[in-house]
Order: sequence, then C-alpha cells, then structure tokens
Amino acid sequence: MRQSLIIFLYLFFSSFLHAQEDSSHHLKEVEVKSIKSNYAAQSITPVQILQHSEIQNINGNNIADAARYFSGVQIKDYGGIGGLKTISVRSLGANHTGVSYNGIFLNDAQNGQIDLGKFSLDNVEQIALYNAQPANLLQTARAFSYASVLELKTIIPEFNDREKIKLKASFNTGSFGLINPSITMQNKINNKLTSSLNTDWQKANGEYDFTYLNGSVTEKGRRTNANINAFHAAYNLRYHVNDSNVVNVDAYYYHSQRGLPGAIILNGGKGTQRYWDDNFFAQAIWRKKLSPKSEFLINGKYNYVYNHYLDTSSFYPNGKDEDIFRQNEFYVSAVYCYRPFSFAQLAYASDLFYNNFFGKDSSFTKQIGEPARLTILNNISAKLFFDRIEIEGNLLSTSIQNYSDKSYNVRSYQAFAPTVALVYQPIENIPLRIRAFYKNIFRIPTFNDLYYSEVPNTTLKPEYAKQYNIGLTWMQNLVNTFLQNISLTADGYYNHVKDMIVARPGTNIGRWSMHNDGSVDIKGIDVNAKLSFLPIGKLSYSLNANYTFQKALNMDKTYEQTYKNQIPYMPKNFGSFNIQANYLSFSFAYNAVFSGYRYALDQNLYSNLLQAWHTQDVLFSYKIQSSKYSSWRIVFELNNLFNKQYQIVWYYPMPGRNSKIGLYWNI
Amino acid sequence: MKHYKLLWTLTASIFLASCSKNDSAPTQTAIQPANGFFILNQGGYPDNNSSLTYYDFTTNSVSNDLYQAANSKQLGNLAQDFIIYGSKIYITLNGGTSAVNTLAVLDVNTQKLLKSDTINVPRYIVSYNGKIFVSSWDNNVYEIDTATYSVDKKIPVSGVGPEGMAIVGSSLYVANSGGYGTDSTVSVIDLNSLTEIKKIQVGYGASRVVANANGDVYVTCQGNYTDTSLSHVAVIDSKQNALKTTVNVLASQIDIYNNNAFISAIIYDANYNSAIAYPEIDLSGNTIIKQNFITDGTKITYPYGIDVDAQNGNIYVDDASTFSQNGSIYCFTEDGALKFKTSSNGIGPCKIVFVRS
Repeated sequence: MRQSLIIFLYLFFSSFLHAQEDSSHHLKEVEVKSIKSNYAAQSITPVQILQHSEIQNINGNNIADAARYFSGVQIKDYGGIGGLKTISVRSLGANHTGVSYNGIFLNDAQNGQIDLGKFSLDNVEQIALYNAQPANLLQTARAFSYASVLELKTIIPEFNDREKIKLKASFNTGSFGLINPSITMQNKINNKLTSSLNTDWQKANGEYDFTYLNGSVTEKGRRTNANINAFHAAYNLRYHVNDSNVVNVDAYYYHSQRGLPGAIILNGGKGTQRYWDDNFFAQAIWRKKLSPKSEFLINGKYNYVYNHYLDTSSFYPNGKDEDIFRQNEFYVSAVYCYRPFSFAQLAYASDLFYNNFFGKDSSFTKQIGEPARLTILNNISAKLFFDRIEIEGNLLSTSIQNYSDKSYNVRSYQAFAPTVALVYQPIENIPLRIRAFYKNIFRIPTFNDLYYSEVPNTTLKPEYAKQYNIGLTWMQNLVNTFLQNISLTADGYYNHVKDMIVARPGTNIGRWSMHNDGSVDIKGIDVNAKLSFLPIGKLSYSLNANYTFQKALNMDKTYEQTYKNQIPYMPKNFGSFNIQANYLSFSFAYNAVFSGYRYALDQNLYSNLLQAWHTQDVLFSYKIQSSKYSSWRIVFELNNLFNKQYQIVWYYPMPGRNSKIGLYWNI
Repeated sequence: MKHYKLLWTLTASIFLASCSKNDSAPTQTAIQPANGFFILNQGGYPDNNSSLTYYDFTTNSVSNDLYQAANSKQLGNLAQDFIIYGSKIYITLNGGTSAVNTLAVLDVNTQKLLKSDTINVPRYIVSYNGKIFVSSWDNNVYEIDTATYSVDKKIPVSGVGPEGMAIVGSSLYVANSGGYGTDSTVSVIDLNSLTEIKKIQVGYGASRVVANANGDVYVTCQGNYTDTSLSHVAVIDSKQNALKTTVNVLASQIDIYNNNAFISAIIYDANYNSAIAYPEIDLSGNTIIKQNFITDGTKITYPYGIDVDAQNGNIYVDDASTFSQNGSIYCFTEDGALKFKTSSNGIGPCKIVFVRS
C-alpha cells in the first residue's frame, strides 16, 4: 500500500497532466482511480470522469444511464430501452455537445444529435465530460468546436506475458423482455499488436405499465410498439510500438430496428411508426512523439448512416409515410504539438470533413434534396505552465461551404472562436485551485434545420453560445484518516445563447420552419464531491454527489409572456448521488438521481408544468474466481426502487420499478 | 470532520432543492354562459392540452379551462373545431395519425362530458335539421344523431382530407384539403340522399368554407406548400354547383358579416418570412375592399382563427402566438381598430363561439 502511494505521489507531482494516459496500466485499479479523480480536480477546464470500475456499479444499459451522474447534465430521455436519449450540458442543448469515440467525433449532420441510447456500457473503459473542451493540446480541431465534449473510450486489452487470447461473455435479462448477450474477444497478435472484437445483441419488447396524471385523475397505461432489436460490433486494432508511438484502428457497426411508441395521446390510438437505423464507421489514429519536445497526431474516419422511418397509418394516401435517409462523412485531421520551452506548449490542428446526404422518395426528402457540406477547421492553441499557474488559449477558425442540388440560396460560413482558460493554485501546500474559462462557440445549422422544415430557411445563421466559468477545486489524499481521497469542485457559470435556432409554426401546426429567434441567459452552479473512505475491515466504500442549480431564462423580448421564463425542460435543481461499497467478493451500489420541476413549454404556467422526480436504484454483484484465469460475476440491478412514475419529456412516461440480472464470464 | 459536515449540507440541499413545485392547479368552477364567448384552444401536439375557456362580456374576464374543471380530466389532444347546437357543445379532437380520435359532446351549462364518440381524425362540424355533420380525414363525412350522439351514417367523399364545410339549402359543401396528401376540390353532398353528388375544382389546399345569404359558397385555398402564390378564395355558385370566380388574396380563415368576408391568412413568402394578411372582400361583387382590414397597425403573431360577432360586427382574431405560450384573442371594431385584447388562457386558440342570454 505504502509503495503504491509513493508511486502515486511521484506521478502526481512530476507530471500530473500526462501521467494518466501512459502509466495507468502499470498500476493497480485503486491507484488509477485516485490519479484520475485528482486529474479531474486539477484540470484546467472542468472535467468529470467515470471509470470502468465505477461504470460497473451504475444501473443501466447505455451511456445515457451513466452520463446523468455528471453535474450540469440533462439527459432528454423519451423513455424505455428504445427511447431516444440525448445529452444537454449546462442548458445549451444536444447540438452543442460533441461526443467522441476513441478520440474521433461522432456526427450526425442531419440532426446534429447523438442518441446515447445506442452505445452500450458493456465495453466502455471511461466516460468523461469536459466543459468547454479537453485540456490536452494534442487534440483534433473538432475537439475545440463544441461547447462541451463527452468522451467515450473503449477497453484497451491488456495481457500478461503468457496470455494470447482473452474471452469475455455476458448475458443480461430482465424487465421489458430484455435479452442481451455479449461476447468480447481480445487477441494478442504479437507484443506490439493487439485486437479486440466486442459484439452485443439486444432484443426487448420494451413494454411497461405506467400511470400518469390526466387532469387530476391518475390513469393507467401500457407502453406498446416499443420493441427493439439491436446489434452492435466494435473492432479495435492497436499497434503499440511504445508509449510514444501508437496506432489505433476502430471499426464500428450498429444496426437496429424498433417501434416508436410515441407520446401518450389521450384521444389517440396505438403507434404505427417503425424506425431502422444503421451506422458504420472506420477510423484510425496515429500518435507519435518525434522528440521529447514534439508530437503529432493523425486521424482519419469514414462514417455511414442509414435511417429508415415508416409510418403505416391508414390515413396516408398510400397507406404509409416513409422516409429513407443516407449520410456519409469523410474526415481527416492532423495535429502537431511542440514544446519550445519547458513552460510553453504550442499546437496546431487542422481538420477537414465532408458530409453528404441522400433522401429517397417522400415529399420531405424531395424537399431536402441532396445537400452536402465541406467543413475546414483550423485551430491554434498555446499553453503556459508555471509553478502554480497554467494558462491555455486557442483560436478556432471554421470555414463551411454548403452545397445543395436544389435552387436554394445556400450560405457559407466563416468564423473565429476563441477560448481562454486558466488554473491557479494560490498557496503552495494547500490543494485549493481556482480555475476559469471563457469560450465563445457556435453550432452550425444542421441539414434538418436548413432544409427539412416546411419552408426551408437556408439563410439560417449559426447559433452562438458564449460561456464563462469560474470554479474552485479541492483535491487531497490523506493517509490513515477517515477520509482518504477528497475531490471537491464547485463551478459557477454564465452562458449566453444568441441567434438560437428555434422552430416556429408554419402554415399549419404540423409544419414548422426554423428561425434564429431565441436568446437565452443561463446562470448556474455545479458542485461535485467525490470521497473515498478508509476501509472498515474488509469493507471499502466511496461516495459521489453532484448538484446543479441553474436558471436558464428566455431573453427573447419579442414575447412578453415568456420573457425571463425558465426555458423548457431545464430544472432549476438537479442532483445525483452514488454510494459504492465492496466487501470481499461482494459489491453494492446505490445510485440516485433527483430532478426539480420543469416546464414543457416556453411559458412558465401550471398547465405546462412537469413535476419533479427522483429515482433510486440499487445494484448487487458477486464475483467468483473459478480458476487462475477465469472468473464469474453475477450482477443484479433493481431500478427505480420506489416505482416512481414520472416523465422527463412531456407525455413520454418513464419506466417504473424494473430489474435486470446479468452473468459475466471472463477467461 | 469538517468534510463530513459539508457532505451532509450538500446532501440535504439536494433533497430540499428537488422538492416538488407546490403550485396547485388553477381552480375554476363551471360557468353559466350568458353574454360572452367560448374559446377553443387547440393545444400543441402531442401535449394533450386542448382546452375550453370562456370570456365574459360583463366581467371582461376569461376563465380557466372549463372542461377540466367540470370533468377532472383533460379535454384531449388537438381540438380542431366546436359548435354549440341546442344545449350541447360538440368538439372534435384529432390526435394525429395514430388515430382513435373523438367527438366530445358537452352540456353547455355545466360543461360536463355527456358522450365521447370515436371518429377517425375528425375535423370540422356543421349542424343541419337536428343532425351534426363531422368531416374526417378518413375521407368521410359523418352524420351524428343529436339525441343519441352516435354516428347515424358515414358518407364517403371521393376527395382527400375533407375539411371545412358549409350548407346551402340541402347541399353540404366540403373542402377536400388534401389531408396528408394533396387535393384541390370541393365535394357537394346532397343531405336528402346523404351521398356525394358532385366535385368542383377550386385549387390547392382548400380549407375553410362559408356561404352567404345569396347562396354563394366561399372556399379559402391556402396553396400547396411550395407555391404560396396559389392562395386564393374560390367562389362557388350553389345553383350551378360550379366555380363562379376566384379572388386573388392570401386566405386561410374566413367569416362573413353584412355580406363582407373577413379573412386572415398566414402564408410564407419566397424569403421565408411569414406573410400575414387580413383581406376584406365585398361579396356582392367579389371585389377586394381592403388588403388589410386591421387599420390601427395591431400586430398578431399567428392568426389562427377569425369569427365575426353577428350581433355587432366586431371581428375576433385568434392569435396562436408560438404554440409554446398561451394565445390571445383580439377584438376589432368593424373599422378595424383594436377594441380589446384578452388572453385565451390556453395554447393555440382556433375558434370562438358567441353566447347571448
């Protein structure tokens, strides 16, 4: 224990920022965890991290279930296994959050939102949420182009000298008719080359009973047309010459088909909509240190998306309404990072990507046509290190050319977006740090924003989000005290959104068009506490709590009734709480989420009110080491213990009490 | 130990802060309609927030949702039209394509629900000889008995998306709006035989239908969503059952007073700005009197319904605003000056019906 502490302290004081990446797999799990949480407290921009060991103790199936334990985050969840789940950070909306997968960003040029429900927690090593951007300079320009970044990293296989192949298999089943087998095969091809193939199949009827309030009467319902059949395969090839020269290749395939249960309609019938969804991408990253002072990163990706939407309602003239969409993205990026002096680091990143879109047949897709877009991002960044102060700044240039095969008056964009950030430790021996950042970034209108509304508004401007953040962090490791590891962070922030892209009704209520109408002021506080305690005998335990307070006010003066009203779906209060405990081979977790009341529409009236909700989940697991090389783990999850009936999105009921049992086998 | 305290403070603050909003639902008792008007608020999709409110001319105040007050439950999703016939209120509610939708029958004095009938995507309502006729996007017009409130007869229409209706003599004129497809006709139904007898070409996006005392039928045509210059008013001669003329004005909603038609329109122009227009037409010569009957510059965000008070010629325009906040009702004098404005106390007001004691 003492030895590992020394290793830890060494890493921490010598090069805390770079320690986390390369050295982690030489250390045992406990040490890694301490370093990471310290990293979180020391980061120049706010970051929250969930490690594999913590993710294992979170109830749920997908990334969204884990991401809701980050402070400042709202998951817009349409409910159930197949329900769309998108992330909004600090009230800025899903389009302002970038989601990266092993270092390269996922993208949907059509709607700009990533459905986190599609990414299972099964093979995830780490989930991190950065406000503004990741602090590391060796990043693609795209990493600087969002208001916040959610970073997913899959498990990197690790082998000891004699191992060649590792196999992991799991089977989960439970409520909603869930059947979820998964197999992961890891292969050491030689000392430098490893591969991993993770496959996962999920089938569920997705049905559940719920109750909801109709006026003042509680009514019962059952969610139907909610079945999902999803398959995903992720292949990773890693060529690791040494820590200074790594090539990482990923291939990813996802296929699903599902029913869309839709909202509760008081005078409505059963859902008649189905949705098919295919996504394939292949990407490669090469990272190489040329000298102790210089380093480069080269990335490339091809992404293909296929969406098929079908509504078989008899009210359509042909008995159906059908849309088929295809998208491609071609992406290349190069980054060069140079450290001319021990106290200064400079980096230049250049990204180029091309997106195109093909629709088929329906009136909407005829209207949207076959638009395409070329984006060139150039980013210059610099970082200065002094004894107790670190300053980072960057300037991102965005050039966009839109193309349309229609006679639309498409526009091109050119804009510069700056960020500055600093972290300062006022007193040498006191682990208190002050951090601050300013970022002015924008989101470009998506293809849907531009072309898919009733009357295409191809002259839409980008939506700007200005962010200011100031925060305190306190991070401390203690020896032989009740509290062993403390990480406390508190950030206050102010965001201003202008030219917000909002939908306004068109010639009838079913047809909308997009406008740069909105303006929003967001003031908030994020507080996070991560504590681990001195084990009591063989019982070790830790605790994590998050709390967010935010006022997100509509500043659009056009409408008197909604001016300075809280914007839809943003609770003023939101919090989460986790306890994890381990005793011998048993582990236990308690995970809870609390959300204050919200409004579903612009005007803050009782008739638009969505009540506060909370869910409390527990998880038990037991691990059996059956031989030197193989182990079993059985996990039981009980979710929404108190059967709380609630809605995150108006009239999309969330599941009540539900359970899941999983068996995991490692060999 | 200091941290311990901090932790508890933090935990406690989460619990406290996440308390429910203590607001209770606004209260409302049933009203005795005397001098005033009922307002139907369509609500948004899929928000189940259609509502029925009442504006009282004596107190100059608007009620909260009467339906919920009287029935404890919500009215439903996407109210489309309502009429008062006898002592009953008839309301159509259409819930989109997954439709098992309803015609709700309420007692006018208590606003209590008497019967809820299932009709697929019901749209507009007219009354005739003790019967109610409801157009439906399942391409039928339904005849409803006003004693049993149930469907007597289903009248198939050969057009797509039967919408607004008007009756002249024993003929019912129903606009074929196109529904979820396209159409450009009006069907004529003979109310004696309850069959479609003729179809008349009027133009894309036929929506609302009214008739004047001379037996001319006026149909607003909104265009076909891509070429908005096609928007116009079609005039049908009910004696010939043929298109008489067209008046080239932007037209969505229409009502008649003193043989003048008052029209509101919200159509998008080529620059993606909504073109809002309030033309007034003299129906004796079918000539445009004013391009804008609102003379005092009052701006309305989203005109969604127009009704003229037959007693005094006051013109009421419903403003649905953004559908994300309560709408308003604007009352104009016949000269087009704003007389008063009231909240509709609901989302997307689309129609008002006057009540006199």
